[in-house]
Amino acid sequence: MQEENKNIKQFSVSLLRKRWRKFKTIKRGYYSFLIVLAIYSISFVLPMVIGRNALIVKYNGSYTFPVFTYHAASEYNQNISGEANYRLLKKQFSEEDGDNWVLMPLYPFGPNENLLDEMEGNPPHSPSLQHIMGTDTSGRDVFSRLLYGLNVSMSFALTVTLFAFLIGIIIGALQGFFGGIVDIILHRFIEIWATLPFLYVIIIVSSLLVPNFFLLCLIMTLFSWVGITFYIRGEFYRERGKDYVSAAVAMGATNRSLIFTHILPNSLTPVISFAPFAIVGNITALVSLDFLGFGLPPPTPSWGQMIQQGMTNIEYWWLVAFPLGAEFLTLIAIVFIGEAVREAFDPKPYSRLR
Amino acid sequence: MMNKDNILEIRNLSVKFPVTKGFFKRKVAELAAVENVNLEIRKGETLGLVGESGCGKSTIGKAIINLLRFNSPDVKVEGEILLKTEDSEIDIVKQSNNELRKYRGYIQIVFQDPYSSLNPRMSVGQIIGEPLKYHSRMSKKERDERVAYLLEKTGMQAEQAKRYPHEFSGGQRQRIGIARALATNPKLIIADEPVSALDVSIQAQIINLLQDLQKEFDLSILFIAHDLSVVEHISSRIAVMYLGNIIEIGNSNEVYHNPLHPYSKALLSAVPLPKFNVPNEDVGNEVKKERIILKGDIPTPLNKPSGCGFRTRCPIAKPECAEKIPMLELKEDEHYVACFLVDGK
Repeated sequence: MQEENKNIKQFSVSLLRKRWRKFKTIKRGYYSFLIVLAIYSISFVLPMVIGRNALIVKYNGSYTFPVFTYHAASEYNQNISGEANYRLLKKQFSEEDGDNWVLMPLYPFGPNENLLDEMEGNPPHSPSLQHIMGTDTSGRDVFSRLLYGLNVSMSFALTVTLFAFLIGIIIGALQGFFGGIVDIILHRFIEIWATLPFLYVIIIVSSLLVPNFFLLCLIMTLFSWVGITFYIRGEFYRERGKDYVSAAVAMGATNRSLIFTHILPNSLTPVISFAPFAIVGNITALVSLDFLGFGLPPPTPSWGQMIQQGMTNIEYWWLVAFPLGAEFLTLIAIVFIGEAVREAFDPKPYSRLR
Repeated sequence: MMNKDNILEIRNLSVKFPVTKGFFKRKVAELAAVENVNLEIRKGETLGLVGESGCGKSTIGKAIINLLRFNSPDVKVEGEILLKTEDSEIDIVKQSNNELRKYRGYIQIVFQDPYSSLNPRMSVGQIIGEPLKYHSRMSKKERDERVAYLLEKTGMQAEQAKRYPHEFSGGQRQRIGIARALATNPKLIIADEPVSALDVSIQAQIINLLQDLQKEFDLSILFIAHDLSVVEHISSRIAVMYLGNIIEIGNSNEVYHNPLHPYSKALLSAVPLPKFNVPNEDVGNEVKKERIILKGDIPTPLNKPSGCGFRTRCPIAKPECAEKIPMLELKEDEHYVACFLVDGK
């Protein structure tokens, strides 16, 4: 009996878990997923790893944590205005050889700080051991900017995808479940909405207001929810006609439980398999907007601006190669994830050449 | 008032689907899938409903359980479907969806396709337990006990409640569907071709299961099918439908062995008889039936022939058949036939 129960547990897996298991067997997608997830998670605590502010400073017997709090240079008796420069402080303390010390992050350069004072020659500086990807035309560290830009790009793409899909699912579900006049009216509205030219709206908005992260997310969301509604509407139409939904009606289920416990969980396949590609699309969209100069205001570290800078300074290869390479690798990793997800949701087990 | 022996009475039921055209959904015609049907289902009996595809037999089943409005909101249902509940009689046609919800437990349905009738995302326990959520105040633990009980009653194991539908075969899935239908202790089960998607050995199991459960749970069953030998085996009475009308109804034995309506005769002559491959020719195939082959196709319900719907294909039709629609008449004991030209014994 014990044995039998064990067997049942082992064999009994929900569809979602089955698909997750299959996803894990597709190595390329699974490892891409892990890498992207790891880098994106790290990018939230990036100031701890890469940045200009020291993690811990011991000065005159007391500890301060400049990563979290602002400290003026005068607090450490530094002879510059504004915030303290911890790299110089570290150099100074080690020369003094006293009790004071500074613990810097692993890569001690911030994305927006101008390093001209500390470096010889004119920017852009070519890659060196200190600045592994060189500096840009304003003397800012390229590597630092790239990684901070990754967080901006990914966060933008994830936020936009999440909210656009949310709106798309709600509208598509309304159309597919209620049908009839609701469907017709919403569909005409979608058709009108979809003809609004996205780029012109962005240009107009960013010439009126200074676009910030949330404003850009909002505009992008408003223009990218349309695509998924068609799929959700179709899925709802199809699932609604299936017998298990009829059975639920016959047992007295309310519309709410029909939608949320029966139809919706069975209609999410297009959402999950489109999500990685939508993320790719949204990363590209932000990069293009920044490239054109309608995106995030400078000095926000963004890949589009870096690529744009690379294009105007094409003779400095590191300004071109690294931002483009980073974008390429990110996009291809997400496409691998998307491909593996699609594969994991494919009911036919051997439709992919291995 | 309903007859006290009946669990359900259908009076003058017509189901009409609008046929629309163009962007503005202009109604151009009306398709009467079921027309002026009178039917009663008695307590504890199995009523077999047979007919070829498209004759409206499933539509009657869906009308009884009020699924038509959900699947096609424009449908027009006329007439009365009276259901006897514990303390009152309700007319299913007149109830709104919300009012009807509390009576849903009295009638349940078993579907034809065991693959699409179970939600693939829910475990078997959740599937069978779901109607209990709407119709009882059971706690989670009581529900689980009831699910285990139902699974055992339908020939499965209680441990299988944790599994998911894709882990079962068609026959097992149909058992799960039956267990779900039984969960609320219904009085009437609509079995909408419950065995036609299964292979023959499983068909027998499911039919025997239905018969056992009928005795145990005191069920009435409306058994919709197109396989006459299956229907004859399980039913106490049989109703034959053609083009939206019931043309013959009577005791199972009577209708099966002594059909009166020319359509029923043709339908029954089409039942394949087992031919025994025995060397001694006297043993096998003793019943030699002449096969009646009907001419032409079933007319479209959009453009029904005048008078008797069957007259265009009827071997014995006469001119007067085009003038009046024949009503069901008592021809023999409990044996009603809608035809002017046949008589009982």
